[in-house]
Amino acid sequence: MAGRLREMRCELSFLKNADGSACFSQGSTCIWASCSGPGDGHASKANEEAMTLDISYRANCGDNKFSVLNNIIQSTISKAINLELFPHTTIAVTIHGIQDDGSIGAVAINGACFALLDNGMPFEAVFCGVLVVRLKDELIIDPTTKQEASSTGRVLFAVCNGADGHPEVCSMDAIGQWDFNQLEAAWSLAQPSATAIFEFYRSVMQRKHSIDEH
Amino acid sequence: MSSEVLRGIDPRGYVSTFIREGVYPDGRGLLDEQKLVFKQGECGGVGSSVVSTQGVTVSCTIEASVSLVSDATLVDIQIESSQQLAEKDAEDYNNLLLSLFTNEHFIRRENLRCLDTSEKTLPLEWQLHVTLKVLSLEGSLLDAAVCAIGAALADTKLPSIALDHADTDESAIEKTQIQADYRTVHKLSLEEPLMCCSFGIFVDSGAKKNDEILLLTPTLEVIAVCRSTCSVVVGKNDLMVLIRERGRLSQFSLIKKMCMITAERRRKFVESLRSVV
Repeated sequence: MAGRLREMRCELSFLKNADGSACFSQGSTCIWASCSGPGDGHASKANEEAMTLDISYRANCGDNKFSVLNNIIQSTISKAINLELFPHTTIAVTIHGIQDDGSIGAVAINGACFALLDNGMPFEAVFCGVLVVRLKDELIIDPTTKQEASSTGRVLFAVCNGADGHPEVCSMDAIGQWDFNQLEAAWSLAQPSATAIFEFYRSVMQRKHSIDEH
Repeated sequence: MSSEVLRGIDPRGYVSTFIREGVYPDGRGLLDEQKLVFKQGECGGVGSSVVSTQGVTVSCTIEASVSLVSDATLVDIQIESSQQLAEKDAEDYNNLLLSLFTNEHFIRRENLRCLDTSEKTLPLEWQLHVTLKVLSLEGSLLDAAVCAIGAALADTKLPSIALDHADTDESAIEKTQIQADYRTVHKLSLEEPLMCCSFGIFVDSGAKKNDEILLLTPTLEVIAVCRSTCSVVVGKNDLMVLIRERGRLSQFSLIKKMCMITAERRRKFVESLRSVV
């Protein structure tokens, strides 16, 4: 098992017109995420009881009408934020893939979380994304594009902290042939990586707020 | 208080009353399987099926066309959007089902080569156009869609191809050189059939222990109060080929139970498919 995350970098509030934004990268994979809202939305999408999420992942090329990542990002955010706090409103989260060198799904989830944190959204549980792939019976975390293309199985975990403080699965997409033992091993590998990502979140937010104090 | 009033004002309380007794509101056991009915060859195309399970009815029609050998995708799937299924959801399911084809869990790419009357492979490939129509949607679409595609592929019969183009001829193959010969038909060489089951994980906040309770194929009413949902697709050797979990899951070991239940259901489906063939 190879369990090392690539170097993470994050710049917050770099888009002036968005309520929250983040430029986040893991290794050479980089995304820009922006978050605008809660605010007025189209009447046809208005929900009397909860906030409406408008999630859009856009790759740097191709048709961006639909993306396979929209579903997992939307589901994760809907569990991490109490949407009933903001009825009759809409929040738009847009993630642009700037450069893809593997684990774009996990990086997009992390970037979305940073944009929401930058916006000051009240979280029930902060979340992060971790991708684990199987390459010749070895599990690799945060793979590059080359490793991902050669893999025989992929699992994308969206992880949040449970009530007992331990990481728990918030969403999961797995493809490829997995038996339960391999899947459990992938989850065991993802947990310390998720803890490391949460530590990174903490350090970035501490740096942001310490600058604001001056 | 009338049960209907409770159902309207506190759906979670209404459902948890039944789940504590180990049944759904309709009386079904929490892990009891729903009946699955399928019929092949009724919807036209080179292969087709209609599958009905847990309130969802889906028809699948497969059309085929011949193409030159290339790296292009050989299968395209379209779920026709309807009033019951939004375009965004239809596209999402399209991508999921297409990923099963791309990863060769339904059929390997090399088994889509055209064959002549003597079963010799030709430098031509079959392109399959899979169309799914949702006839009713009162539960999980993925369960019925995976079975429908599997049954339609098992029903598919493709004609032999007569190719009037020498092996040593380096010029491009013309359309006029390709003829379909319906006197000899071939069935597709498929991978082991897949089975999809959807589960809900319910947490009874009123109970002393907040254990996660596993529910097999919950109805839409129960899904709305579940903490999380999970769809598991199982294939050959009882391995999980696709898992889609949405919501918080603290007991990871529940996935093992989901896999076992889906594998058992798959065995019954495979026996039924083989008995029809």
